[in-house]
Formats: sequence, structure tokens, C-alpha cells
Amino acid sequence: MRQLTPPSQLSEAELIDGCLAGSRLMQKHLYERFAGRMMAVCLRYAQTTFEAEDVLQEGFVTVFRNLSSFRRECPLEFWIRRIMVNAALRQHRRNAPLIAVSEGEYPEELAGEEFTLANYGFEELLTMVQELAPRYRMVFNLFAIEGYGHKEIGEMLGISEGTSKSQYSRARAILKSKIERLDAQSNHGHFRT
Amino acid sequence: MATSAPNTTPDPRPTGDLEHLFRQKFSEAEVTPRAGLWEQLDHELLVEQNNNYRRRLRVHRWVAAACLLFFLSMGGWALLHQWQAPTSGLATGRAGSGINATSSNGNQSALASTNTDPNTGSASADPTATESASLLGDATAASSTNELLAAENGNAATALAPGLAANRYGSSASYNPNGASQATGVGSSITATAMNTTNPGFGGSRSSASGASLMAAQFGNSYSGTENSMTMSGWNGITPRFAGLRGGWLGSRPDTLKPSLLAAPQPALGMLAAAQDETTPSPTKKWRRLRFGGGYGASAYNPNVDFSQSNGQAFASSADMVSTALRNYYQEDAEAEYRRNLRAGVSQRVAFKAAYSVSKRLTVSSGVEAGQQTATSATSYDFLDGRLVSPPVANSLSNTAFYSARNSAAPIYMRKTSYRYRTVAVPVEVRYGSQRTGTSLYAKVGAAVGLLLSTKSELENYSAGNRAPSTFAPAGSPSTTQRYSLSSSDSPYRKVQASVRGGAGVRYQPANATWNLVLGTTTEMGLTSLNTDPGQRGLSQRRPYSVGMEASVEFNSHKPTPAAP
Repeated sequence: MRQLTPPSQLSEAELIDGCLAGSRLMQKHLYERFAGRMMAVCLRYAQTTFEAEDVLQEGFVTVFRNLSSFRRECPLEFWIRRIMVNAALRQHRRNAPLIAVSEGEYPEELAGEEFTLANYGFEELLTMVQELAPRYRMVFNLFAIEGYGHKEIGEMLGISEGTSKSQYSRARAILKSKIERLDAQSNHGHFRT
Repeated sequence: MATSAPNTTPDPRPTGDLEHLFRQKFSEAEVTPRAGLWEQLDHELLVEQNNNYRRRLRVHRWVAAACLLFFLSMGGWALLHQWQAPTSGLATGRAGSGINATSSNGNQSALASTNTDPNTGSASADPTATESASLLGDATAASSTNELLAAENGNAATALAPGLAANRYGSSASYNPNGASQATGVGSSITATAMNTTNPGFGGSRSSASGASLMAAQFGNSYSGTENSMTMSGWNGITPRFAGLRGGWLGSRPDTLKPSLLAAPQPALGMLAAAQDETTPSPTKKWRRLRFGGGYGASAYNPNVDFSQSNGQAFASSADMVSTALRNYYQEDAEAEYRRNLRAGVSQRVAFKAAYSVSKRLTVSSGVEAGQQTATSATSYDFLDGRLVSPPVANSLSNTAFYSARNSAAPIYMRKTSYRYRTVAVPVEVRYGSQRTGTSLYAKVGAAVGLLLSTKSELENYSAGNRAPSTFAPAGSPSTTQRYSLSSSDSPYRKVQASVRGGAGVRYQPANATWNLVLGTTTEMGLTSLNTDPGQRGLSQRRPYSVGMEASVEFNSHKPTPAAP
């Protein structure tokens, strides 16, 4: 009798081969393995959970459709993450057509402040990002989290490099003020207790 | 949605800037999506899989249709080609075997005449056939033909002398009491059938004296009159093939034609109408299925005219006997040269059509179209429209090429001839393809009947004293122009043309639009030759053809209604 391998012990190659063979079970295993992390990615780009689920679904359909073109030169997660980001960008283009925004001014020096990581939770930070305007959210995610340069971001979003820098600067300032407000609230609560 | 611990790995840096803070918290965060999301995804994957399957199926359907069309065309062509083969050749071919068979029996063959009973349809030999059977020294073509037909119906040709026939037949009957498929030859079968009138045990014999009677027996039809014809017509050669088709591929008789079904009481028309009303939806406005439009097509057109052996007597009335003789002598060379240098030209067609949607995928269209076709050739004989337009003697002795063609020291001067045909036609086409919005493929077949309104043929001039080194004469103004109109009685071209055409391509209809654009290839093949008096017969005739592209636009397309939620 053939012994089934637990899904958690399946290697990436086995998962990919199974999906390419058309196994719906393997597709489900692959989905279950990466859905959590990809949902977190989608939530960062989306404004609501429903929107994030749409992006996740579209992304996984793209993953299964194009899995044969995955060349296995990098971990599968990176490839799927990139697909999710692209799906989020498509969703962003559909929902919020890009409005020409003036470049404005942006500070050259962005660093300088220090935050204690342990003081902030994932959900608080996620809420802050989701409350940003869509164009700010996109640029912030792509630059600060994914690590794209402003030139690449400009090409991806169809905006100029300067606009990308300007919008990132603005997004950063908003987030910084929110964090400071959160700090103040927590300090105030701390004093009250 | 449940969140998990965003970052479980210890970070060596407890503090950092804003980017580091967000990157650290988001990098390995996991959020479990809601439970039903996989089912949605599974459903979407299934839908996409079905769409892919449908897309592949559509491609396979087109490929299968193309293959079927190809094989049907090839089969039809092969069948027609076989029919075209002279029957006498077949008879002669088979006659050899008949003679061989006869020679093994003493080089004797019996030839008899039989009568067919028109009432029963069964072929019965005239009792006098045995008496009238004459011994022939060799097998004749007629008897061979009969043997051919007998052999095609499963009978082996074994001609026997009448004296031996009775004995041999007696033994045959003892082998097979039914005698339906017993091998007997023509002569012997006649004798046998003649004896059949006195021997009821051999009733229903399918061996008969003539092929037509044989076929009548197989079809169950009645062929009246004496069927032992000495000369075999073309249809007599074809009909056994039909018999094979009916017996093998098509079955003996369609169910709807069976007497039992025809005799059964038919339901009343009112009942049929009521049943139809229950099953068919209410008819939509039929005028909405009608579309109008126009199109343009450009093709490479080859008139493919073969003037050979067409009008060899055209110059018999010439007063100059030398010229007449030369003309007739060089006519064939000129015709061959014309065909050798014949080049396809441009064919342009403008059409105004009305199309009617018969069903979701079938559209029938018709209208009127005007076209102009061109072609070029070259001649060294002053050959235009199937005739030599200038005296060959003068040409040959002065400066034309057909003289020098035989004396290769002098260069050959070719004069360019150009042809222009203007037509008007009524096409009828059936198109198969989707009529929905978006892009879809289509295929169509059709036919057209048209009139050749006018022709213009030009023979370009060249300077006789200025010989160019090339084989083509220098271009100049046309020296000879011949025009024929619809009313010209001496036109060498056929005035009524018929053709079949087909094509395939892409149809595009934008969303919420009432027009569509059709772009595709088109192929047209003439059913009639362009020249009015071709020297060839039947399928050997040369017919014009064209291959090209066409585009058309149709208006009043059905506007798609939004789907119900």
C-alpha cells in the first residue's frame, strides 16, 4: 500500500511537479503552504480584506496557469510573491486610475528616527498602511518593503521617478506621525495606569 | 482571518528606522485567509480549465472540418477522375482477362441477348438465347463489357461453349442450389438462365447477360428492354459504382423510404404544429437577422486560358493560302507560348451584400459584385486572344521571333500582352462562424454566376529597327488593342461565368456595436473555362482561379443584450 507523504513534508519540487501534472490535491497543498504569507502581502496592498482576497485569488490563478514557466532558479515563494505584487498592481490600476500628481518636494534625508520594534504589532502597522491613500500605499510598499527603486516603481505605476519619491516621502511622513500618535497614546495610557 | 505572530525570529536590532520597523514586521507575517477561499479558487480553476478545453475543442473542430473538407474534395476529385476515365479503356482492360478466361475454355464465348421482365425486375434470359447463342472465335468488346459487369458483381468470367455450358451449369447448380453468387461466365450464365426457365430450382439467379440487368437485379429496379448493348455508354460504366456505394456505404434504402413507413398513417398537420409550438420558442423578428454591407477583395488571378485546338479553322477562309498554312502551323506554338508566359494579375472585387442569419452560426449572404481581373503574357507570334493578329509571313521574314526561334542566331523578341476582364456577378455564400461580439473565426463556401461585361487585350508595340539585347521588346504604346463587350459576337471569351469559392478568416464585432468587420482569405475556382470554345473536354479544361484576401463590413448586426443577473 502506498504511503502518502504529509503535505508539510512535500518538497517544493514535488509540489510543482504535482501541480504541473494537473493534480488538484497538489494545487491545494501549494495553496495552503503559501496562502498565509501571500495573504499578508495582499493585505498590505489592499484597502480591505475583501480586496486582498480578490488579489490573492487572482494571484494564485496566475500562479497555477504559469507554473510551467517557473524556472526554479529562485525559491518558489519569491516567485509567487512577485506574482501577488503584480496582481495587486493590476487591481490598483483597475480600482484607482492613476491621477497625475505633481512631483512636489521631497526631503533628501529620510532616516534619523529610531523606533523600538517590540512596541508595535503587525495589525497596528497594517492598519496604518491600509489607511494610506492608494498611491501612497503602493509606493511605500514597493519601496520600503519589497525593495524596488524609485525608477522601477515609476515604470511599474506609470509615474515619474520624482513623483514616486515625492509620494513615498509623503507616505512616510504620514506613517511617522501616526506612529508618534500611537506612541503618545500608549504613553498616556501608561501614565494613567 | 486570523493573524499569527508576525516575527518569531529574534532580531539582533531591537530598534531601527521606520523602514526597518515595517520591513521587520511585515516580512514574515502570515494571515490565514478565510476557509472558503480555496473552494472559490478551485471553482475558478475549474472554469478556466473548461475554457481552455473549449478553446482547444474549437481549434480541433476547425482542424477536423478542414481535414474533412480536404478529404471530401480529394475523394470527390478521385471519384470524378475515375468517372472521367474512358469506359472503353476499362472494357478493353477487362476484355483481356475475359479473353484469357475464354482461351482456357477453348477460345469460345457465347453472346446472347436477354430480355428483362419490367414487372418483376428480375432478369430472365430469353429461352431463345441458347438457340441464338453463337460461337465466336474471340471475345468481342461487347462480351467483355458484359463480363466486366458480371465480374464486378462477384461473378467470375468463365465463358463456356454452349455445348459444355449445360454440363458445367449442372454441376454449378449442384454446388450452390441458390445460385445467387455462383461463378459463371457471360456465355454460361445466359445458358444457365435460359435453362433456369426449365429448372425452377435455380430461380433468382443473379447471373444475367448484361451489366444493366445485373444492376437492375441488385437495385430491385426494373430495366425495360433488351439490355445487351454492344456499345457501353458512360453511365453503364458508372452505375455499378453507385451500386457498390448503395450496398456498402449508404445502405440499401433509407428508412424513410421504406414502404412500410410510407404506408403508415401520418399524424395530422395540426398535431405536428402543436408539437412544434411546444418545443420551439416564439419567433423573433426576422428582419433583425438581416444585415447589409460591402466588401473589397484583392486576389492574384490567373485566367488559365488554353486556346489550343480551339480555332484551327479560323484562318481557312483566308485568301492567302501560304499565310493560312503558316498561321495554322504556328498557331499551336503561339498558344503554347502564350500559356508558358501567362502570369497572374491582380483581381479586384467590390461587393454589396445582404446577409441573413439562418441560425446562431450559419449566415447566408448574397448580393451583387463588380470585379476587374488582369493578367499578362508575352508573345513572339503577335498572338492575342487566341489569334494571330498580324500576318505571320511578314512577321517571320522581317522581325518577329517565331522565325528566329528556329534560327537561334537571332534574338527572340517578345511582346508583352496584357489582358483585362471586367465582370459583374451574383454571389451566394454560406458562412459558418460565431456571431457574437469580439473576435471569432469563420469559414465560408459559395458560388457565383457572373457576366463578362468587357475584355480589353493589348499587344505592346516596339521599334522594329531598334533591337534590344534582352529577349523582351522595349516597352511602348500599345500597337494592337482588342476589345470585346457583352454584345460582341466574335468574342473568344465565354460571357456567362460560374465559379465556386471558399474562404476563412476572422470576424470582429466590438461590444455594443451594430457593425462587424470581416477579414480573411478567399479562393475562387471557375466552373467554366474563360474561353468560349475550349479544345479540351470535361475536367481537362483549364479554368480560371484566384487566391487572395478580402475584407467586408456589415451593418445592422444584432446588438447583444446584457445578460440577466
